[in-house]
Amino acid sequence: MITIGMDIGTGSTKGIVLEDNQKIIGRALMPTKGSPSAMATKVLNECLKNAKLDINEVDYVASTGYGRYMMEERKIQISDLTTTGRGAKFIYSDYNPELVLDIGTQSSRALRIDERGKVIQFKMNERCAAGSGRFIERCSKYLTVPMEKISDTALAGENPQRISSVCAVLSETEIINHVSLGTPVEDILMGVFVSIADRAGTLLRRLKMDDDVYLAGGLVHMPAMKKALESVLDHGVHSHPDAHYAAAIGAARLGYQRLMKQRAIAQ
Amino acid sequence: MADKVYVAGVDVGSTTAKAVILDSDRNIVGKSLQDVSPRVAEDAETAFVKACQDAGIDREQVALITGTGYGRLKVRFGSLIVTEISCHAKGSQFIYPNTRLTLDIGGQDTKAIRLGPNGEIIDFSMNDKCSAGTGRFLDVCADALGHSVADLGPMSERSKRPTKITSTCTVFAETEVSNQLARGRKPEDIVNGLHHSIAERSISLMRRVGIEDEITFTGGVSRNTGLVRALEEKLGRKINVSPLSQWFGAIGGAIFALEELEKGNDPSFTQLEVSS
Repeated sequence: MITIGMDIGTGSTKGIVLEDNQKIIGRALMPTKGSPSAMATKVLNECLKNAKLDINEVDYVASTGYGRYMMEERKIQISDLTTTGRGAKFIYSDYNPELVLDIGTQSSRALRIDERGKVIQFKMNERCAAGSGRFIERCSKYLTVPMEKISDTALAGENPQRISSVCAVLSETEIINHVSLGTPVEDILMGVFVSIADRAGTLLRRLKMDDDVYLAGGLVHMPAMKKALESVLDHGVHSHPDAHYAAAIGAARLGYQRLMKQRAIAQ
Repeated sequence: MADKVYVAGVDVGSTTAKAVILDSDRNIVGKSLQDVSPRVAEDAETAFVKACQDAGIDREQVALITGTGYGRLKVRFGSLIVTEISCHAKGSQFIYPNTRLTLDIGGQDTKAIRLGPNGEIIDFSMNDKCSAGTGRFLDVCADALGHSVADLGPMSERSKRPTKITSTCTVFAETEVSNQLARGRKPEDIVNGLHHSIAERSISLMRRVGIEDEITFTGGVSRNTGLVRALEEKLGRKINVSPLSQWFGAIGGAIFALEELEKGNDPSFTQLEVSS
């Protein structure tokens, strides 16, 4: 049984091909540019190619993420909170994850999940760029450090520079002042990661953080982000190579469940 | 003429420094505007010197100087330090005596100040944590549209239907502006939509202190005619906007200085922090 989960996010579109609800046999990730529906088709074809499959061999497609309603090939669309919880439960199945932190391009969320990966409580911020990946993207632009080098550059920072502004735009002025005062760019960047981690900490504390945190989303594959989180949180922080695909995996698994249910009813 | 008494107010904001010279009859005889760099103390000094030049007087002729605004502590040559909340309120009531509510939108913050009939501050509410709805918000969005902020007022006057802007955050609004442009929306409708969104935020700030009869709009952003129009539409009434509105904080500061002199106080040698 082949199910596909497509996560159409504000920053990137992710696709996962799942075999029999367990094995990831194909994947693709591309930055979201232009129309979300065209982007979804492109990534869908890409992950089919990666899995060496034809679309006719696919049993079910589930979409999630902010552009989930715009994907024409979908059979169902599922909220990204739901899919992130399920996906995190799957990728961290060796542990017993209860708290999931998902930092994306335009939002950050803290989820508390049950033993099935179902979200029982959540806190999120999607109205302010200060705690999201967009903040890093802007820093990359005006500090002229390319995104692919941003994490390594930050990790070289020895004295992270505290950013006092809570607004991503007001921070820019502060950062530019630091540059003109000669603060090393490495220290500034690590400071930016720490400030995002601080905001994530606030979300987690509102969920009464009492356990280790399991990461999901686009920003958390950056080692600097993990390090910053470890420096501000009192509990352990876990990451996984598939963390960026958590919502897509969750969608593929929920798609499988739905398909099974449909077949059971049909029989 | 040589013994004529002058006072000054220097308002150092996040984006610009403003200075005003007042004579003892409360006439505004000189003013200046200076962009703020990381060397704030120098910019404050420059603003003051330029205002003296504009008034045609020597700096020695200024008996008392008030520093106000976000960078007020950098007005090291001043003798009086007053918060910008007090100064904007004072300046508003000096120009518009019936002002009961001052809305001040600057480069990086927004304040709503409610006043009593004698200029006393009854309540105030401010947003200085987030750039949404401030001058900075307009700067960033104007950039995304490829225009300067000065264009925004006249542009929005050509709009018949504002484009709804849903993002609060400046960063997300910038993305939204680009997306709306890509969708083919007219730039003037987008600008109009931005003005409506700022007007809504400002009004909710004003509601927190209570919307009163006569409203005076101060600060650099008050020069934006499109925003004034959006505010008036949503409030259903006219608001006071002066060509000098950017200098109201400095004017208020100068009035405080004059009042100190009139009371017979000469705090020239000690810095006084006045809170009202």
